[in-house]
Amino acid sequence: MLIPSLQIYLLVGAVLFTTGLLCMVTKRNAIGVLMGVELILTASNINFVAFSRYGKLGLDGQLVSLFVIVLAAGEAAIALAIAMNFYNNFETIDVDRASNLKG
Amino acid sequence: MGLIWVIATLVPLAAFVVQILFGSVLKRANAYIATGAIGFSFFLSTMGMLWYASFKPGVLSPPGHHAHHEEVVEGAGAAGHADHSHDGEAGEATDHGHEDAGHDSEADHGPVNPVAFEGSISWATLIRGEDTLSKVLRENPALGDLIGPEDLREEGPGVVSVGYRIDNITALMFFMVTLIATCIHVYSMGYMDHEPRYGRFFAYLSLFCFSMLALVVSNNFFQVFMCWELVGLCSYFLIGFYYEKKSASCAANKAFITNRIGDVGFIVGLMVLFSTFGTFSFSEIFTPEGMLNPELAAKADTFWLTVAGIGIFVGCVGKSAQFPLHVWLPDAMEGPTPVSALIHAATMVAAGVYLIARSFPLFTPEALLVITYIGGITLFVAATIAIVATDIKKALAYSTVSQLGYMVMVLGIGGWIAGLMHLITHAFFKALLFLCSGSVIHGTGTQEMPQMGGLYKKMPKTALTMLVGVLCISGFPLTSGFYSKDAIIAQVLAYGESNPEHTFILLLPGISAGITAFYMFRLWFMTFVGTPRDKHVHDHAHESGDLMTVPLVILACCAFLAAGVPWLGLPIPSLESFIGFGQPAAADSGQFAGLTARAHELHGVASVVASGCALLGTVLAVAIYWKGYLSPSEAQRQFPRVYDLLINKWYFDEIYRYLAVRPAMAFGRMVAWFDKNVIDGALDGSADLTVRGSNFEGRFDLGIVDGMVNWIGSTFFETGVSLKRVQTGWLRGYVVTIALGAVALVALGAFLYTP
Amino acid sequence: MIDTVLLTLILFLPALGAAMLALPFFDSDEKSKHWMLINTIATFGLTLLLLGDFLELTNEQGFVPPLSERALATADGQNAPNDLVVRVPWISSSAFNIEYYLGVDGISLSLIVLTGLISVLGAAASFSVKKFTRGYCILFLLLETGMMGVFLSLDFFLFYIFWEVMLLPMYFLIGIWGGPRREYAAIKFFLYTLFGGVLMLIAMLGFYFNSDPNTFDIIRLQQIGQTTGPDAPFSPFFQRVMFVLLFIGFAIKLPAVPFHTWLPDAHVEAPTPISMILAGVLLKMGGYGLIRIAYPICPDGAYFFAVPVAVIGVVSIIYGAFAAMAQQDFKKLVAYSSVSHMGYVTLGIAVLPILSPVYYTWGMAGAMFQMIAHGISSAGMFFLVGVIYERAHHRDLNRFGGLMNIMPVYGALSIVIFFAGMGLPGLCGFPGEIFTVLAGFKFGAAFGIIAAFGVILTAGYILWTVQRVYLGSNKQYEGTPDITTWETLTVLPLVFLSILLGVYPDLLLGWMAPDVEVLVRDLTDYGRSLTDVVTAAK
Repeated sequence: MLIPSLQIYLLVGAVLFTTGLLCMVTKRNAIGVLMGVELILTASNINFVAFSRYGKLGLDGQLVSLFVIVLAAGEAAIALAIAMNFYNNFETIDVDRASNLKG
Repeated sequence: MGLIWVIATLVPLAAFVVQILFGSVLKRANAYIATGAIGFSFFLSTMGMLWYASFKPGVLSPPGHHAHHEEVVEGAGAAGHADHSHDGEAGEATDHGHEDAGHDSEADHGPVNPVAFEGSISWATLIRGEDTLSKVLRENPALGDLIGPEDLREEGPGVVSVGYRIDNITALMFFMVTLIATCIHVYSMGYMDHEPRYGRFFAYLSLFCFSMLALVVSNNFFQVFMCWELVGLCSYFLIGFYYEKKSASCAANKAFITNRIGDVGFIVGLMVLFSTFGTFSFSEIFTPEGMLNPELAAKADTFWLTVAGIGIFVGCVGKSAQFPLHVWLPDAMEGPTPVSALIHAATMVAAGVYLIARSFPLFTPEALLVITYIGGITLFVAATIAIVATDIKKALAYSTVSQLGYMVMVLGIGGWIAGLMHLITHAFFKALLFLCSGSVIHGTGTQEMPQMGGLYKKMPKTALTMLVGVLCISGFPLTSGFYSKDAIIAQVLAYGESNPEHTFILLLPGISAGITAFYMFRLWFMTFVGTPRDKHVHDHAHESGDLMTVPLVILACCAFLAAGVPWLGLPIPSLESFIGFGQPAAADSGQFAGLTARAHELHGVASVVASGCALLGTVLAVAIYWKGYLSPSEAQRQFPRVYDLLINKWYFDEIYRYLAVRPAMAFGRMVAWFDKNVIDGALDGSADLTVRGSNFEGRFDLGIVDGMVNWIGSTFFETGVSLKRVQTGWLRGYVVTIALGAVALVALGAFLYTP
Repeated sequence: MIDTVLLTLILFLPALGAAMLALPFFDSDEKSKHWMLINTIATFGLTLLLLGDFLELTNEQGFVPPLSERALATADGQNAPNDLVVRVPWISSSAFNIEYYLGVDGISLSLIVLTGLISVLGAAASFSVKKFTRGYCILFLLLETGMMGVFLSLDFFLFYIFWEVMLLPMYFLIGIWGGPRREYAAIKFFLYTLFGGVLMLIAMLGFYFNSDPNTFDIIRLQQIGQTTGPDAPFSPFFQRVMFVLLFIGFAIKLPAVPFHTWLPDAHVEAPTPISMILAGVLLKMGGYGLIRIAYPICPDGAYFFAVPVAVIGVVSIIYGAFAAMAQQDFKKLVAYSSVSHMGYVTLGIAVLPILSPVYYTWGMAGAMFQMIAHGISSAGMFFLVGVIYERAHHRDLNRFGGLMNIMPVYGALSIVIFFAGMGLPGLCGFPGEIFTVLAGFKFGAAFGIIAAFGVILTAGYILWTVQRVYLGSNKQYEGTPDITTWETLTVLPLVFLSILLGVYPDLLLGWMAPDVEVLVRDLTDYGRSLTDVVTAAK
């Protein structure tokens, strides 16, 4: 039986983070990438909350995670807007096509 | 009284101004104005001359003050600057025949300069009068800092003045000049009749008359110098009167430049007088008795006095055409003949002699010796050249040079009276001779004697008057020339007795007296007797008109009687005694003490010697050129060297050309080259160097300074270019990079972390 | 107060005229030329008025108070109503104390009148200018302001400004309206003068910072320079260095050998009226600078370098004469004759170790007289050369001849002017020459005698020129029109003055010599105190 401990939470966070990262790297679809980002943010939220529970941070960790959630919402909104615009211009949301600013 | 001469001097100047300003309107009336002016001058000078001549010997000095009591008599102590204070009026005269000293000196020193009138106005004021300055200082003590009181009695000339000084020598010269000039003006009206620039000729003559008269009346050396140059200028214009001819303009240039060489000597003399004596005034430099002012003489050392004397004499050498500057006078015959008579025989060339006589007390014994030798050489050299001259005017010109040499030489040996006497008599007979030759030229149209001959019948008046002149110059008894030449020879004999070391130079006057007679008779015979050598010339020959012959006759009378011949028994002093009143004490003291008296004793011997020499020359001339006993061409063949030397005028012109004229020109070209190539070359070179330098600097600027800046910029640019490849635009790659980077950082942190 | 107006008007009337030429009214060349002529005549009239005022200054003692006295009285606030000195602060800050400071005495006045006259004649001679007439007139009038300013200024800074102001119009006048090599000549002239100007600038600042209180006042500087004793503000060494700087600066303008080579080029290339101005006025600035600035402010330097300066003078006389003799170009000959004639000026000024005010006055007054006389005769010569150049279109001496018969009036006028240049008695060239030569002899026999030899050379080249150009006969130029009335009127004043000043030099010396005498006495007193020190030391 799993006893809830910091390590467990951190493990879950790590898995989520890795999943998110892999999702960002592998997905060419902008929405997929966005989802990866959301996963990474979630992973960090879990860590914050875990440290808030087990570490000496107190309520600060939860506060930050709430802030991250708000931020993620905003970020998602902007990212979707970018994706929409991108689609409008390029008829696709393949991020590999978005290389106009390359050196 | 002095006013007479001042007016007489200024009248020709006024005539000149009128002729120059209204010449185009007056045209031929110019001649009347000029002649009238000089005639009026002659009239005035005759009045003055008569006044002088009315004195009997012995009572001439001191002046009877009653005769001119209206004139201001200045105290003896007022010498110096007081003379220079503005008189305002030129006519205001100063009497320098001392009232108190006159009686004593008459007894002690023999003859004294008789009445001398003097007056002057300031010409250039450089320093204000002493009085003004002291007054200024008195009333403005603050100025004391600016003008030190010690300056108030500063010695030296503060004013250059022009003025007149009349004594009997001046009066005599004035009389002679105006008389001859009047005759020549009248003569010229005939002679120049057909000339295109008739009016201008008379304008020049008027200017000349003014300059010459102003020279004669000068009371200071500075004014003499100014007039000296002015007569030279007139001479230049008149020699170059036919300026279309290259030879005429060259002769004019030669005359002027040669005279200027002499003038440099004159300037040197002026400079010495200026810096040692601090004055140019005759009456300050000389005492009334005719000695050098002892106060001034004490200030100068003998060397500078000699330099001053020789300097002034060099001026005379130029003007009186003495060796070695005599070369211009024969060339000056390019001018119209009346000019040759007036300027180059009677007056201007005599001015040099006049100046020697004027400044006689100034000459040191050394300077006088130089004068003697120069005169001696001149009189001989010129006489020898005259023997072979074929141009009638040139022969006369050389004769003039020779006769001037007589005067100069005799002045050098203290024969003051003899020199001036010969100056006067020579002026008359030489003017006569020139005018006669002019008449011949006018009548025949040629100047070459070989084309003449047998003209006596055609132009008897000319021939006879000229014969008078020839007799005079040869020194035939009872003519004026006899008396003056006799005086010269007597002086030479007297001097030779006491100075046997100079015998050589003293022989020359005697020898040359013979030569003179020879060449003058040669000239007359070749012209007037024998068979005509050029038929064309002879056929066209005619006697000149009255305008020309009347002056000839007048001059012939004057020439014959100029010495004031004693046998006429006129109630006027003879020329010799008249001049004798003015003899400066310096000519009868020092080394010349008693010489005048001794010369007087030797008159008898002298007249025999002079007449003998003249007779010898005459006989020879008669034998060769009249009777034809001897052939001149035979003589040429016998002595080719001598003939070559003489016909080439002792090669003076050639020597000067190679020694002076060409080197001067070459040096001028060298200087111009130096200027263009060295100075300007250095300048342009430095400019070029500057341009090169700035070019180099420009390259340095472009290469090094700008290079550094550009290198830095381009390096950053290159870096940027190479770095931009990292920016792939591949979004997922970035994510990988970020992740790997984060891992690497953590790994690094873990690795480095040591608690 | 009236003198303030008068001096300022003389100075700025030409400049005002130049400014008005910019108005659209002056649309034709004729109008511009006439305006220029009217303007110069008005300025000349004012200078004559100034001369009259100057002569009226004569006090009960019968002489005009010296400039220094009048100027210092003005400085002390006692501005006399009509003392011909103007003094107004101009740039007065803590660092610089520069004034608008004008004044005249006999020395500068004679040159001012000469400038006025030559400008009128130059303007009259400019009627033949064809190119850019309006610009020419503007520059010409500006030039006149510059020249007047140099002679009027008593503030060194002001003097320097006008010195440079005059340079620029001259540069363009030569460079635009000149002959074939005009650019070369203009640049050469400009650089030469600028070089001299820089040396002068150094000296000026040296004086300013070594005087206490710092001042550019020339009169004050003269007094400071003439202070003797161990605690004099200007030490002997300082004076000598400054003298060399100033002398070179002014000798270039004079010009003295070896700083003279700009002159022949500038003269040859410049148009006739500008040659007249150059010879007639610009060269005089060098001499004026020496007399007004270099000698009174640095008397110690003047004494120390008297011999070298006199040598430069004598060498200029002889060198210029020889160089003139070798020229083929008529204008170049006249240019070199200027070098020769200005040598007399150098010599006359240089001889101050005579230590006698009477004798030195001969040198100084001779130099001043020579400057005026040369201004008259050389301006005339250049004009006459210009007249023949317009007809024959060349200046080769060897190709002329016989002009006396072809153009009789022209020939007669030329003879007078050329003989005036030769220094013939009765014409204006004589007094200056003979006075300086006499003073030179008093200074050192060799100087006088060598300078006197210049007389022969001068006669040589002038007579030779006269012979080659006027005498003889020549078919080539037959029918050449004689000098026109307008040209005659232009040259006639010069001919008239040549004769007048030669016959009666007192006319000029009468009001010039007293001020020369004051200056000479100052310098001599300084020299005597120097020798006193030396004798005391021994």
